Amino acid sequence: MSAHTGTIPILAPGEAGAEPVRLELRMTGAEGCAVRALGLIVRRGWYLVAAHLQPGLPGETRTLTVDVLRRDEARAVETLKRQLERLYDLDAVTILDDAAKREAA
Amino acid sequence: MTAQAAITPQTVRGADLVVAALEAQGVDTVFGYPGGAIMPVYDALAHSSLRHILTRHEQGAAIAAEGYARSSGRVGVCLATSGPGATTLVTGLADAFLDSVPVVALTGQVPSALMGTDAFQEVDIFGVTLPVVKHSFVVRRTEDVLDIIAEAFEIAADGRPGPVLVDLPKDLMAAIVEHPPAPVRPQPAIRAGACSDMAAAETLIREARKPLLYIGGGVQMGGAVRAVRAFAQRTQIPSVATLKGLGAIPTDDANFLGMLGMHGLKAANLAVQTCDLLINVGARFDDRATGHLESFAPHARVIHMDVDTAEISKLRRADVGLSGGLAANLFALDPGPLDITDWRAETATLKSEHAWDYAAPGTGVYAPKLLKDLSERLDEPMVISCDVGQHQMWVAQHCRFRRPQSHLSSSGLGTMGFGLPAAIGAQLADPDATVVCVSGDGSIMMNIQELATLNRYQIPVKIVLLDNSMLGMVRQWQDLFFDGNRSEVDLWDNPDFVELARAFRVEAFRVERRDEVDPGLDRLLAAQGPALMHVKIDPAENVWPLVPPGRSNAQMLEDAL
Repeated sequence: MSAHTGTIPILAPGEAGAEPVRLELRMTGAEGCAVRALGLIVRRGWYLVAAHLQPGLPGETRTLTVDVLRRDEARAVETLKRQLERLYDLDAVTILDDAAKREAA
Repeated sequence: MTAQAAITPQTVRGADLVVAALEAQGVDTVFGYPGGAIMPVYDALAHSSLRHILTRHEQGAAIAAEGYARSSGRVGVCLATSGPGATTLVTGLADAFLDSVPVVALTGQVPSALMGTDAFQEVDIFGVTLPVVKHSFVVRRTEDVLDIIAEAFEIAADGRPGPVLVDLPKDLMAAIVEHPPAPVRPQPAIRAGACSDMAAAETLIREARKPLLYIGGGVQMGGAVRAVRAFAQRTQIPSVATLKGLGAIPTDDANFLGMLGMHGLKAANLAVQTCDLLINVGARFDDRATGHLESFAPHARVIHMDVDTAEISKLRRADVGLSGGLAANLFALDPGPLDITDWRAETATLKSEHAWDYAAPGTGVYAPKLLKDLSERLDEPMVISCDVGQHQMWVAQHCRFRRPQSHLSSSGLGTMGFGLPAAIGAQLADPDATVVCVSGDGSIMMNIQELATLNRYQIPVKIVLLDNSMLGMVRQWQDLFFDGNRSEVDLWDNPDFVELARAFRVEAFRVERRDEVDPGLDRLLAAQGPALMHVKIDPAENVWPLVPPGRSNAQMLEDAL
């Protein structure tokens, strides 16, 4: 369903049509960057299903991998990706959609 | 606090670096309030070239910095101590975040060793503000101060502007370090978008028979006013504006239909509902503008232009997205001759058929007429800063604006108490401007203490206080949508605002009848210093039109149910 037609039903985790999406976030390691990214994901209408932060010391570039589930049908992962890309501590955001689907199956 | 004895010509305190960093950014004015953890910075400030404006509450400082930034286009700066000082900045930061205003907030913090121990006046302001800042820093090494503050200014102004917070632990501000070299930073570049498609946009415009420009706040913030006016003039495409987009096209332009949305003008809303192409320039399909999103501009294809790629297709799918700088895109966009003569005639008819009738019955003050007359009296440069409520919508509907910097309004957050401190910031940014704060009896009390700031610095802001002894907008909604159940909206016990202003040593007088308005405006605008005109208005007056919540913009109420 597109963002501007019809109603916007709330999706519960596990409900048909609610499939997790995996994102890979490459971050600078600046103070608070992981918290900033995770907070944005939740505030923008996504459930955080899983998260893994690559070990590293402050200041080291590392990767945060998250599985996220949209809270309603109006949320588009491409928009979330762009919102994450606005964060100054994120170098790159990649949608690993296939991996998430494979794991969910 | 006194300067420490160990300072040598080659060394400097962290606090001195803060001041040096602000001076290096060309800052001339900062708004703030001192306290324990920020004392080293205030010590350094006293010996600097910076003008510090002592507001009487930190929220006033944050909003004054916003007003300064909104009217000047430069980054506004506010300063507060740790704990409660920092938390009272938050509303101003959230306001700046939602309206994309470049502000740098500097907050004192408890000493590094005490951070995380629940120390006196400790709060994790970095964590508290994460949702409402564009970026934030905690200084962890004194040597990093220059670089961090330079980066904070760069981020605040880059691309889509916004607030940036820098938290300054007290020990690092008092620490003495070798004077580090000034940072060398590349000029920020507007990043090219990934979804720009100029040719496709030009095709859509050529194919359209009923194109409409939908202008948002991004036009002013992106320095694209000249570009959007040139595009509108070149193509003769009619336009509407959001609350924050007002003034980008002058109100009196023949092709401008007014503000759209919940309290938009009828011609503007009807044009949106009729158009076949909506060219969104720096707007974000905010719910106040769109009403029921699914029925907004139902026949239109959409071109969405925004410096922030994340806004494109966020709420309404764009047929073509043009990311990147608005001015560059508008100047480059050249669809050639358009066949829109009939559409222009149709919108002109809408505009004339739904023109406002200012002939109200009775002898009481009619606020829409007063505000229209006020704006027509003001020569440029002028600024009207308003608060939030009915008067805010009347300003948007009835005042004439010739540039967007003339209209300061808390558009996204809707912050009651915004008007007076924002006016202070605007007046200090442009001493030659006539700055008027239009407020209500509910809003003015939210930051009434800033009358002291007006008096302290003799800032010549003129206040028009529209007093209906009511939280008018809430009362209107209760009447319309809650069966008239008036719950906690009656402000019968307001203070005597004229006496209150005089207690702050601000000139004040009262207007109660329609025939007193003109002489009242004469007196107000002739005052040399700050002045307040207290105007009694009808508590039963409503703001029309009104699109009920969750309804289409085509379903405007125009009178009582």
